Amino acid sequence: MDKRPSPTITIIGVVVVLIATGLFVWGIMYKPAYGSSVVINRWVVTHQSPKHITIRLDILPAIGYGPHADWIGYTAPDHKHSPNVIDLPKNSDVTLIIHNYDSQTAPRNQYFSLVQGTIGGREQVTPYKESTRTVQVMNPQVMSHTFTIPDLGVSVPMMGVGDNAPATAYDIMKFTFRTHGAGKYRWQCIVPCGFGLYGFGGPMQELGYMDGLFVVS
Amino acid sequence: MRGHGPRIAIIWFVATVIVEILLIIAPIPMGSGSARAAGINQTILMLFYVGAPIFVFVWVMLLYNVIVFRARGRETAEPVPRPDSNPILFLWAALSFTIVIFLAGWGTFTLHEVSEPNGHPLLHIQVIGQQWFWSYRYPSYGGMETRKLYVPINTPIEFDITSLDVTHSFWLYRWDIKEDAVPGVHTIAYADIHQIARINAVCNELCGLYHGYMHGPVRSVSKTDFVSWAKKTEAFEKRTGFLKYLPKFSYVYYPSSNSFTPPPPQDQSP
Repeated sequence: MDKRPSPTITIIGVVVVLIATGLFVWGIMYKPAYGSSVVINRWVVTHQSPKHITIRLDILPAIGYGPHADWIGYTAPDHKHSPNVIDLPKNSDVTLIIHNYDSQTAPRNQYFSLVQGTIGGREQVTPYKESTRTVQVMNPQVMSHTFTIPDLGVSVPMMGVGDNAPATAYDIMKFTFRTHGAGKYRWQCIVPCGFGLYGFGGPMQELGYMDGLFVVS
Repeated sequence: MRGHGPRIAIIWFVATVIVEILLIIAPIPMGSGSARAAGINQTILMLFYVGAPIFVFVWVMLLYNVIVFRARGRETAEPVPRPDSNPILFLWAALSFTIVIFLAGWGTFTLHEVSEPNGHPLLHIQVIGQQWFWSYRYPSYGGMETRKLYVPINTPIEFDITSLDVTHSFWLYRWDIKEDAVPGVHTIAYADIHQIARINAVCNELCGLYHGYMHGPVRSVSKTDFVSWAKKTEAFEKRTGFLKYLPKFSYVYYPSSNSFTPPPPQDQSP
């Protein structure tokens, strides 16, 4: 007696296996990459003009909220949430104004004392209680962090406040870069200011502190 | 069985010729943009060329037997096995031995060839890995440091590779250059690039949150263009005062200190 299954059952079986395989591939590849779980806070920046956007960020030695309130991080000016993912329009000029409340820590690689990728190749620095100046290179000894977008070739050193300055003191950095084409551009601080032997633990390895993404579309 | 042998031989021969032609025209990854890639590519192709007849023979035998000697109707008799043939066994062993020895010799020779510098003098370029960024120093040009890797074509190059934090792996896939970047260790890769191209340097060692983003632009240019770019970049780094902030060139920098400067000697003891 022929025990082979009927063609209908075979076709249904093949379809079920194909769907299950598709769901499996989607589950392991697509969902983690684009699912909402990665995004903790997302900013859709209000356009001041179609071609020019201004964003204010602060660097706090301890951000004061969330599961790691004592971790260092870039925060929104309200000091209540972190700009993990920032949406930007393509081919726009973005001016970043960063208030740095953190102290001075020399980078491991002094290469990052050079201002790169900004419009004009410079940044404006206003140290605490000092006048504004435009710099192309910063003395690594007074650096604190960087704002680096490797895929756009942007890296800007952040000056740190002196040890004698009060806790509310901050330096202001201002620079402009161009977003160019659509895509995802990660930004990060390249100075090892986290935990562990190499300083790249904790806030350097978790979204929401010393790194994030620009989504340009 | 009469007539099957010649028939199998003809099918095998024709299929082998087709597969070998496909291998010749099919694009094999990596290309031959550098002396090293050309050597490795040639070895891979040789493996395919030698392996193809064996691969085809196995499949021809399998399919031929499945099709020609399939069960027809309700056969009940078991097939009678043929006795072993000593000449065939000897030929099989001798052929396998010859192929393995030939490929081992070819591979060893190529490995030796691609691991040595392809002439002198060498242009030294230091590759520095850090989470998650590649930077490059050129000791022949005042120790200047850049984020783009520029290399001249047809010039023997020594990449002096190190890391400032965790272990990375410097990988120029198109040119088949891959070497670990280890903190406190100086590793070397030689190269001789033959093509003008724009490629990406990537990290091939899982090194943290943004490992997947750790790539940087690489350009190979003519010798004249390279010298012109290098002199211009060195002049810029001198003019801006940036060069004076860089540490003295060294083959390794010590990550245990939070700076580029080597620590006192006692930190290096085991």
